[in-house]
Amino acid sequence: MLPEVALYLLTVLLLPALAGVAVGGFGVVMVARCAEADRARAVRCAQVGQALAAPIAFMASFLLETGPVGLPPVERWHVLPYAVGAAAIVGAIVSGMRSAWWVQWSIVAAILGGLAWKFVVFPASNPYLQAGLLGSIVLVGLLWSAVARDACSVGMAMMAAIVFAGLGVLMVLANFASLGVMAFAVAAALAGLGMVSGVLNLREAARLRAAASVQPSAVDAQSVGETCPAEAVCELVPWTAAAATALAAIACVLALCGHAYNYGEVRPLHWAAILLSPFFALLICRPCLRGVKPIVGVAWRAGLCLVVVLATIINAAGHDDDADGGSGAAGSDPMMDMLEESK
Amino acid sequence: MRTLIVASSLIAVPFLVAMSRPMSGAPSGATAPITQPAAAGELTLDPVHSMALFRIQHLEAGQFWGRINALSGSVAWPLDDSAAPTIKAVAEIKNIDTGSEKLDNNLKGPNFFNEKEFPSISFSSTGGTRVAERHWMLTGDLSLHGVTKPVQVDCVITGVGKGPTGKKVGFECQVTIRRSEFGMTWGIEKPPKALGDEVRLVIGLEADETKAE
Repeated sequence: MLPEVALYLLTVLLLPALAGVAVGGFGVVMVARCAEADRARAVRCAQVGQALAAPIAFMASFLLETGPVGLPPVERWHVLPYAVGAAAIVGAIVSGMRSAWWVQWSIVAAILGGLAWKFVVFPASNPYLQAGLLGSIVLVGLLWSAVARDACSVGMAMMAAIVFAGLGVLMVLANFASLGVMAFAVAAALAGLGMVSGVLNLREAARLRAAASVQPSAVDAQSVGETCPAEAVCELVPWTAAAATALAAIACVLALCGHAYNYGEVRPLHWAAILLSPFFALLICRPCLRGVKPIVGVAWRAGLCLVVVLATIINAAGHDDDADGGSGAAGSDPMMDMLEESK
Repeated sequence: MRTLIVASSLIAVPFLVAMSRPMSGAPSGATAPITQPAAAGELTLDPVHSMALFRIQHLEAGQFWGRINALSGSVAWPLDDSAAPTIKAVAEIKNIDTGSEKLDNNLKGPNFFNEKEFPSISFSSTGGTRVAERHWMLTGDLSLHGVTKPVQVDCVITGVGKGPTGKKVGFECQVTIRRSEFGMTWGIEKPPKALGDEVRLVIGLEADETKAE
């Protein structure tokens, strides 16, 4: 049994995560090896790969867990691979554009919000819920764009990984295990991408330090970017607002799906708290982390995000236990239940 | 003479009518499907005493039993067993009962029955073949998880008694299905061998004679 479970986890978790890391990480590796002259173009290509990493992990996990789905899908939640595919395409295309962050955010939020409003319809959906989905994609997309601008790529990837892992736990609590597995696969891909970026950034920093010690004039602030002093974690491939907004849209759609099929005690506030956890970390970190080394900033941001996510999960799990205590489950007194019903 | 003719006619008519119908309880025609009951009695399912039990293998070990309470629907069956019962039964997924609320919620969720999209299971018989007295092999359509497939259900009439509204008839039906054929695949291969594919259903029905308005 155990080897079979290990094989199952390898299939539905690790393989999709590796697929995501391969796409996103390959771009980052290429940028690290890229000559200075071609770097701007390589960074844009890598940013496209970064925007594709999470959706590819999700779709691979969905395919391995559920199998291919038709169009229109038999079950409404089977619309998810199409929604995530749309987020991947829009996020990647807009990430490759040279435009201001707010333009990228506007384009991605408008397109993905509109598509979600029209096509992502779960059971018991109503105009208010659809408006909520549209609004959350716009708002969470905006907040995650702000986080992506403030945190370095490693920090952004780590916080997003924590968010998707938290969504996965909530989905398990909501009795939607298969969607939870898919969220874990996305989290693993983002964590892997963050680690690849972190290792290469550190190597790049070491290379720049060595170059600076040999020939100080060869490394100026412009060539490596202002956010990349030689002693810090270098910012090889910063997240674009488009990629951050597309990732936020995926998180919002998954959260709404978990809410729509919720058979646990997970409440809307729990989903919202996890979606907004990177922004809480930004609010706390931004005033107090000025001037600290980026690696310390990454640790603080990811740590605060993790605290919010863990607190939310503990709260949701507590509600779940409370619900069991009041039910007619094994261990409760059937006579008391009858008395309750007769009241 | 006229009186004799009238008297013999009165005796002959019921005899001829009786001869034109198959003998009650006779196993004749055991292989011939009978689809239309003759003068079938209309019965309504008693939800309090009608339930479906399901059995599935858990972790390749024990056979786990759960039930779906309060089945509703109707049965058309001539009390003389001259034709196959025509059963229309509906089981609401919200009435699933395994003895554990957590497990009930898991079964109602999208990994299994997906109650929010497919709130009920229904069976509608379309015909039947007599196996023995008050024992029929029914054919019909089972709708489960958004998929409708023809199934054969072994159905025994367990007894005819007296209920509050008239006659009360008991049925016990059994069928084994492969849930993967209905798009319910969670636990068969992913996670591997967590749950079996074959599900045995034992359906206990009590139906009351419908009172004429």
